[in-house]
Amino acid sequence: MKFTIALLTILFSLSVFAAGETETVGVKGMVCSFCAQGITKKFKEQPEVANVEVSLQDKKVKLTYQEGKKLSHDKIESLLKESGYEVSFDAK
Amino acid sequence: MRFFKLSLLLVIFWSTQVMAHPTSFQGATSLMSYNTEEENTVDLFYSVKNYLAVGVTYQREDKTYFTVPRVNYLLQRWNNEDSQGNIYLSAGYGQERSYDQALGVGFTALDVDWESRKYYTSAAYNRYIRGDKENIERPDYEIMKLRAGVAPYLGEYNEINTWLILQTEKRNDTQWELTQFVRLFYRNVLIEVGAGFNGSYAFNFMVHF
Repeated sequence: MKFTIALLTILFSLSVFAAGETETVGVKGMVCSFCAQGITKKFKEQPEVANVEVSLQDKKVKLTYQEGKKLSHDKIESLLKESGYEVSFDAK
Repeated sequence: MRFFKLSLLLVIFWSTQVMAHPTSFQGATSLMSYNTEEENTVDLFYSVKNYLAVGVTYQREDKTYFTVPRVNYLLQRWNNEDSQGNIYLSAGYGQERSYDQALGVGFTALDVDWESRKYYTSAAYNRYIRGDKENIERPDYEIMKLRAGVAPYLGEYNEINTWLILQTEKRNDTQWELTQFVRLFYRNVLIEVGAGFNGSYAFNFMVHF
């Protein structure tokens, strides 16, 4: 029983730490849910991206990458352009 | 449950056009619907690029039916910090069916909109280009719409967004008609329920997937 609990604890810890780094980018023109939906869909199609969170209030998209992976700024700009929006990389 | 089923039936069988969204993000399919007592319209578009979409419009106006394959083009978009503005052009050629007679018909449209998270305005001009037939005069069919809306609160992407919208609309030989709408918006689904000041009703629907 103790072994099982220990194993589950280790596996849970690994899954927590498996997520890669995050990056937040500002998006110009993102004013509605349709905008956010298109952007979310585009980024989730990328194998490097583990999760996408959108804030219409802050006009930002937070990308959580897979461990050891990341999108280049050119790629992010291109994906946002395909969605119809413009990026600003000064978001914190 | 009965209301849900009725709403679903309305969407499926009465689907239409309205809220300007001729193009969407690259790879998106958009289904739009606009319905009143005299009109049912369905638009089905596929965005090849974020600025270019192809699709078809089906529109019933009383006992006249238009089926028009069309191309939509985003002529200009302004992506501002807190707002977005768009100019769209559309053109197509299809069929007009009336009293068992089918004739060719051209189509052009201009859509202009500006919206922030709080305010929304749009103007739309649609024209079905008919041309005369066998000395019978067939005037073009024009539809003009102006809209303005306000969001009573600012909702996030995962919340239901609500808009209160006023629309005025004019067709060939009608007066300007005023309709008030409540728009509910959740993620990729939008519905509008409207009531005209002349007692008419309207039901609109839009989904992107």
